[in-house]
Amino acid sequence: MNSTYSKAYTEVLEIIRHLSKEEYEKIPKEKIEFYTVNKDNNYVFKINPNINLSKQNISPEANAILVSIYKEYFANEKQKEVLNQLLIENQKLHNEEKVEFNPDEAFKDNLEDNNIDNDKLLLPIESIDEKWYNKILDFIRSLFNKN
Amino acid sequence: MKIGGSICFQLTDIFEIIDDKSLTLEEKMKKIQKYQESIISEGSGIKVGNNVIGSYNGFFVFGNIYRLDYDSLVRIKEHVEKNLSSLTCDAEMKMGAILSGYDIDSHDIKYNFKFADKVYNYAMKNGKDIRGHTLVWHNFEPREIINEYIEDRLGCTIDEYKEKYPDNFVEKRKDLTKEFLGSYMKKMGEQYPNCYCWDVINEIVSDDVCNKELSEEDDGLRHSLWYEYLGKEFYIDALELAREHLPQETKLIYNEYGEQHKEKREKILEIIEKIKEYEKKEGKVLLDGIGIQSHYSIDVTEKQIEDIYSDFAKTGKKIQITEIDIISDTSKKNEKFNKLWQKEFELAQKYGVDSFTGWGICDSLNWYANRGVQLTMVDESGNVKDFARNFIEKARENNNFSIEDVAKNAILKGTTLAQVEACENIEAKEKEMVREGVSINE
Repeated sequence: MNSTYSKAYTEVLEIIRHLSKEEYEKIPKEKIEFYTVNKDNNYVFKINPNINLSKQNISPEANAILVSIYKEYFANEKQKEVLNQLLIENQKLHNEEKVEFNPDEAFKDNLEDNNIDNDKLLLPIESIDEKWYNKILDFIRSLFNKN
Repeated sequence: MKIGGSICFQLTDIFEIIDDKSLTLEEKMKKIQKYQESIISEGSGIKVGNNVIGSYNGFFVFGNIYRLDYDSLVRIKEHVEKNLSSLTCDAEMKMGAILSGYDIDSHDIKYNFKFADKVYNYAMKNGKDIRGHTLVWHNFEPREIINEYIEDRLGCTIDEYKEKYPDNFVEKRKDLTKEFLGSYMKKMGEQYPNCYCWDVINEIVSDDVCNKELSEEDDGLRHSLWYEYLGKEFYIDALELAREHLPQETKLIYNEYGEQHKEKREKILEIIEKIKEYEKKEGKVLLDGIGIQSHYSIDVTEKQIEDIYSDFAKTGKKIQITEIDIISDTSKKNEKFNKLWQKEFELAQKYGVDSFTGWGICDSLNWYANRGVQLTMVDESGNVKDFARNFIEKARENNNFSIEDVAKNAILKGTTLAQVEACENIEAKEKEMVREGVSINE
């Protein structure tokens, strides 16, 4: 078993332990057994219930598994559809960031000659991230809002 | 579902004494007695300007804390630790308690986090969630402090500015009030980053909507400082500022009471609709949920309670029960009291309420204590009443997070389609190998 995923299974088991009994029971037993058998027993991962999930160190693999669980066992058709759009959006942003913030790309030519948006380049990466973050957050709020 | 109670710093101080391992039982009892005595003497409560806020013995502590014996306090502490997963400050996080003035030299707002810190730190140390309560409220308005803040930036008094620039006075005052409120919210978000929600707007509808025919000019809103300085859509400004300045994950709540009265409920629903219209127009969600305070008398009917849940659920916003108590004479009507609570539990589950908070902790620690009434799910000595046991136990088995929270967080962390597909493929592959008899460890 890939050790990254073994660790992710440890994280997933710890996180779903904090779900309500009803939600926990919606996840098939075989799935939980699979994670239990394949988890990394030497890896210690603890969720602090006081702290918002966003501030806890959850690996990208564990997050991906959790999205997959949500999609498979909890989301309705509309939510699945929007969730997929969000995943695609994230994928695009992920790919764009790689290009956008490649220093070789940014500095290879004279900025003025190439009509590159100076403001955008001068913007700190955090600001762009924040913008993206808010955009996705708005999307998510609409997704989970019952309207 | 989080089960909560409102709590004051005096109680968390006492809990700390009970926890103090360096003291003997006798020393703890003496220290608590001394502390209880200090509570009833003027001067140790939460001060707002020159006043100590609260109507009971001069302090904002609900109930007869100084009369409770040691064993009862220990049982109440056990109840808080075992059964409650969410706490709300009685008064400590209200603007009147937090703001302590304006410093003209540093041009900065002065804050006093001393009391709120005690409750927040207790919550964090004991694994409790905490509701932020409250930001924009009509009581204990910081008019003097805001005026000083504004005048310092105008370079003259408000009246002088108004006389000099009558045309842009209102707009200028609004801008500076927004700046003030934004700074305040930012500071609160930084000081208390783990509040899972904030009552951003609190009790904005006037009780007059139930009592009299409103004139055409009367919009049914409380004409508070916020209304005066920010305009009649102050609640939208407040939500916009909260979204901008509080931590992004914080749920923004409109908290209101009097919802059992049809006229008032209609007004509250009208406000929510206005917020939704604005959200639609702007393409964003500002309001995450509605806090139904649920302060009822024993005369409330089950039908009324059903209507409340049903009407608010139709708005599409999440529902929280934020300050529930049902006032009942202790000598009679126990049956109805129990039934009303059970109806509340049933509906809270039916409508997916994520936070169910009582005002006060138990019958001896709430704002009606000593008046021969019972209000809460917990008796005077900290024992959960029979009718509430199942509900509290079921809620306790639950949760710190919902699967929805978990999925949202993963998306915000940038989870991509490729990552999800990769984890699904790995799982499928591993399962295939097991089916074919190949050991995972090979």
